[in-house]
Amino acid sequence: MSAEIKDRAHKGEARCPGAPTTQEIIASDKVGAPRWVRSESYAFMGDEDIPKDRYIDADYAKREMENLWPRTWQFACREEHIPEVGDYHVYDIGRHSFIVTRVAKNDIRAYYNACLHRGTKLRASGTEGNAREFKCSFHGWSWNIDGSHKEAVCDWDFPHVDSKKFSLPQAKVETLGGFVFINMDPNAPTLAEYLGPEALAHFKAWKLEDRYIYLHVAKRLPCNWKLAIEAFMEAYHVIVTHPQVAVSNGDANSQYDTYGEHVNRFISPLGVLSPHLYGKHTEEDILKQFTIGDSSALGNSERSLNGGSARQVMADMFRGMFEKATNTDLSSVSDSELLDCYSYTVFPNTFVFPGISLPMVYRFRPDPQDHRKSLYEVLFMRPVPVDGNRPMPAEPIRLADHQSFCEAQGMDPGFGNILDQDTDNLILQQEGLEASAKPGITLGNYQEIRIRHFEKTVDRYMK
Amino acid sequence: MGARESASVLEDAPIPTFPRFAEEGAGIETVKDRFSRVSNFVRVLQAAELPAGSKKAVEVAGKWILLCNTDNRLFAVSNICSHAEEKLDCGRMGRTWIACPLHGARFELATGRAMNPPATKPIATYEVRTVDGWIEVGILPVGQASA
Repeated sequence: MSAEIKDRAHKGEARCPGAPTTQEIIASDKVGAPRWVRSESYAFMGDEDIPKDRYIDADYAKREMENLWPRTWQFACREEHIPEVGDYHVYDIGRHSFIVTRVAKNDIRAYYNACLHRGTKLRASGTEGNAREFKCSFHGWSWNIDGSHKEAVCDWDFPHVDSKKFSLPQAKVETLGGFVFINMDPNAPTLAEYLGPEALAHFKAWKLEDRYIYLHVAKRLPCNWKLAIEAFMEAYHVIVTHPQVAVSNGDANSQYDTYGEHVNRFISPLGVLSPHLYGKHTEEDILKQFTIGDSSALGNSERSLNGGSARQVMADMFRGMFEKATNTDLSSVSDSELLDCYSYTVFPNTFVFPGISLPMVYRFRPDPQDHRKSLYEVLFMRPVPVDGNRPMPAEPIRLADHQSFCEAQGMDPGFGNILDQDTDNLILQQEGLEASAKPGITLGNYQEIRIRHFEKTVDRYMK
Repeated sequence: MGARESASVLEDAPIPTFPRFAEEGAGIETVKDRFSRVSNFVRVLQAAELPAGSKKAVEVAGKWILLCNTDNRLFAVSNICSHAEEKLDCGRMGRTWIACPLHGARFELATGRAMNPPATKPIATYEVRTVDGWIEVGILPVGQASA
């Protein structure tokens, strides 16, 4: 083995010194974690800088809209957004727009949202409803909900229109875990092929079809969509950006994994002290500082160690209180699933957090008018109550640019503050990259592997 | 989703209940005021006929009014879309809106505001309350009613 190859083999092997690994922390839990938690899938992918033009160049964003977005699987809505036949939900990405429609109980289709007469959108962007037909509001051309052409008003004037050839064009649709994914590319791989067998098995284990959206908050961010995404791909920033969280978060010893080209994840253990703070805090401090995304389910409970570890006390407490608050049975759910932050990304723009304490979905989309702006949505999920009555999904709360996430009704104030801290950096990063004399960004080999993995896949679609 | 049928209740509607008159010494009530207060709220439907998650259109004093029970409260709005005059009771009801089935315009139930194209004009909203197991609607749109 040459010295260069030997050196490369060692790159990416370093881990936070003096700290247990995430897997070691999870292995000591009382209720053991399932297989999808207890595995690792890291590979070194190079250490060269990532060129910055992708974040700051309007032309790059235009080319993404032609090369990347039309060829990738995207989370368009949840099945619960369109529960009945005829229900539809309009999903937009850039200039593209789709009417995602439930045509039959197990048949969902995504129609290009434009009248085939003179192009008017058949349904306004960002809307939902129920239709017996899609009738254009301009001249009244109409389509059945199965996409077949129904009527051209004054059809005597359109002898050149063959109704059979005037069905609404469709994107591909697949569902997984209650999510409706669409892909504009007729030659796209199946969603299962896109995710790969390992990540697909993880998705299936979560049973996210048994969750519902109880809070949905949307806000425009002052940065390119990829910068927004990358801000959430590592726990490396926690000690500086969220110092209040680090007391109860194993940030520097979080675990990072990649699966195929389109999925990556981290597991960030909670209820343990940050390695940055070893020797500076007690177990009592950890218990006191624990911050979660859905603390409303916990009420104002007293927290007491009683000789146990903070992590175990929180796991036991979460199990009891989440069961009560959400009317669900969590007896078989591991301590790690109750406590830890699992952050998965499905390329290009969806994050899924399948844990119980941080039960979220993020979606990021570019602002079609401005490559320096993006739309961020956070959707909190709760288990469907055991009585089977699925609540209607929450309506999106759209925050103004200047508003804090804490102002969204229903947002946990502690978590709203974390999101503010995350997103307040972004305008500085966008402007800094534009101002910088350096042509690219530099990434850590391990803690920032998700960003490198993500950008490698961006490169592949942009070729 | 909830029931999507509509019903005229003109024949079944009981005589409007008479609100209590002003407390003694509260001021002089004109005949016009008294008429408005007496006539504004009309019993339209037994509350049990409009369970959570359902909606029903009723015809009251010549107006089509859509009653919605959603998001843990009752709403009463015009049943006619401000865009192309389609009836809204066949449309989908969200937590806070009703969508026109024809072209997809949505209206905020609390205010009547048009939320998206092709509608731009609001629809009327009406006061609604439950009294003795009956849903009562103020038949003058909000902003015009004096009771």
